[in-house]
Amino acid sequence: MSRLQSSKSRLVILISLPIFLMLVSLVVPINWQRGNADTSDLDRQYEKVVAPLDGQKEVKTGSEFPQKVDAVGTESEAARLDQSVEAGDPTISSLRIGPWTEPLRRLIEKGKYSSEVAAELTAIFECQPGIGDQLMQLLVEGQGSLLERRALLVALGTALSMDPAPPELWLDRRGVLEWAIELWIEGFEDFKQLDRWLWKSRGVDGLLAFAFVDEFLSDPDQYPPDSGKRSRWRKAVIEGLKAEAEDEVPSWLKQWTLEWTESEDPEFRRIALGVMGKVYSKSAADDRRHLRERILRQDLQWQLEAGKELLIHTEKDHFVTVIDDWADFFIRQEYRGSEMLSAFHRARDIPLGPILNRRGGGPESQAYRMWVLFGALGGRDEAGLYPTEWMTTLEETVRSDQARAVRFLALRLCAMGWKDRSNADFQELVRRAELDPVQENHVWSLLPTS
Amino acid sequence: MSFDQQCRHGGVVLSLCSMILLGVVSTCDLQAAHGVIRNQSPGGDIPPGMSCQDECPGLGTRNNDLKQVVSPVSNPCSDMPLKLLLERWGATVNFPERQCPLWVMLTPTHSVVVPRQDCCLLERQSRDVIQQKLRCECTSFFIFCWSRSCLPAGEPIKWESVDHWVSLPCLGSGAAVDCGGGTP
Repeated sequence: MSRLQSSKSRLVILISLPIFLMLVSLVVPINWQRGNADTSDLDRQYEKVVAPLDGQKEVKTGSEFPQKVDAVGTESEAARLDQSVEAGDPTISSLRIGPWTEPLRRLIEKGKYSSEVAAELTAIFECQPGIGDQLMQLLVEGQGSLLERRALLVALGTALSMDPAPPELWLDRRGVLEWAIELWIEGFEDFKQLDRWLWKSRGVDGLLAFAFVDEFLSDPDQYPPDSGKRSRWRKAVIEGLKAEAEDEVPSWLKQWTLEWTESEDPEFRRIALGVMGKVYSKSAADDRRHLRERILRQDLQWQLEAGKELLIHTEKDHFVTVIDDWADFFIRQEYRGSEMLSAFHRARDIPLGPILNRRGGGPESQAYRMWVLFGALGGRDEAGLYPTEWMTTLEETVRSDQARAVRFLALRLCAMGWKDRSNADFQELVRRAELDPVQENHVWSLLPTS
Repeated sequence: MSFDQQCRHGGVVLSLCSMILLGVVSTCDLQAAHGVIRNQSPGGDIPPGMSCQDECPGLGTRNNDLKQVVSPVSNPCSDMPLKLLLERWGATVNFPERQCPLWVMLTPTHSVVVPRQDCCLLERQSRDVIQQKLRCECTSFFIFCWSRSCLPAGEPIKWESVDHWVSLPCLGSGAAVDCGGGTP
């Protein structure tokens, strides 16, 4: 979809919304929050919104519109927001009044102390047809207290995420989705947490990704390298492309991932990097081999980044295959990172023993066993416990592995997941490990009760 | 090496730097951890034939930056993640949480031995790899947690040790030889 089409979508919203609002106001009883406002007030407020929307840039410069921020999710920004909550009076509203006013007020009251706001959100979604578009419009207007704007964002994000959605929720869902992502990419403050919902939303797809690629190619200077805007743009493109590989990978995406992997344009190589983990995980053996060959032709740093992407996206069905294909590379690069722990965590349903002993128990595979054991550190759950089979495998490794370094590592893992089991049993395990006294002292210090 | 320099290394999906940027761990909280990281002790003798007392062995060092690994499981920070069931339409909506991992494992900056002409090894130190548990505190709640602090919980524990090597130009090689390749 081109920018022109996108603008057309917005135009449709803008033309249809005032008419729509007028009709709705005739049939839907409105709960005024603070006295009555005559329609001319409402019209004047609405004109303020409509006027600058001919050009999006104008929208962004108006003082009443959301403030632009450089980075998303920084501590200083969060702190600033919190300060503004304390400084402003959240009960004083300058939000445009309409059928949404009362349900929004109820959402704000409940949301101050509870997450159970499904009923309040439902009331908002039922207050008028096309409320999804209206929520977007209200948020863009930038009026209202911080809590009102946060409530609007929660409602908008929820509306975009709903699948199935109420039949009359949207007039132009696609147009709103595209517009919202554009404002998120631009870095507008009121949209900065929209990515909590965006990437699971229906409609974030390849078509959308290519619309953003088109926008980038038409004016790359708008996306300075290494800027927050560039990285958010890239994220949107990657998420759109990845969504195309949810069930199986379309052939065009395989082909482009292969081509972009070797592109001379570093930006396209970065996009390929972001997509390839998902593509690899979902592809057949031949396609995986092709992709692996391309990856291994790149420079070492890029190979390592690609390897991490594979680990991030590896599903448990392909876990053993990925380990087989990539363990030697990771061991050579001395890589033991968070992505590896995440991959092992997702594979908790798979028995650890066969993976650990896949290359035998001799000295030639010691580095492999050490690497797998480090990955197994990711196998603990929220309570700090390993799956039963993993714990059994770890204890067996402590008792029987030929290499002291492997036994020591396995015993440290056992200590981390020992929890409430008896010290006498752990003492016996330590004895069987046949470690040196320094190592023995060390493993005792890792027991949670120590 | 300064903490900024260590941060520039980056590259890990949830690097400590990004955790700081995202407010997962504050810089001041990290200073305590750094005190532990920088704890070092003599790591024993240099193997025969490698030290500066011997004929020039051609061994220098390469610097490994601070590295951090985070748990794949996040802290159950208050009211995250939020799951809403909009019953009327049978739609379920998830609000993915911002991460505050259960723990972070920090490997200190250290130099490892590499072949390097006109260089020898002067000293070996032992540096601790530590695991620091983290806890999450919601600092701004409205329907869900909009911002939170991810703070150290309890004392860090030693997970293992790594050797840190110090190298020097061999006698007569001249002071201009860079044996450390950026070793702090």
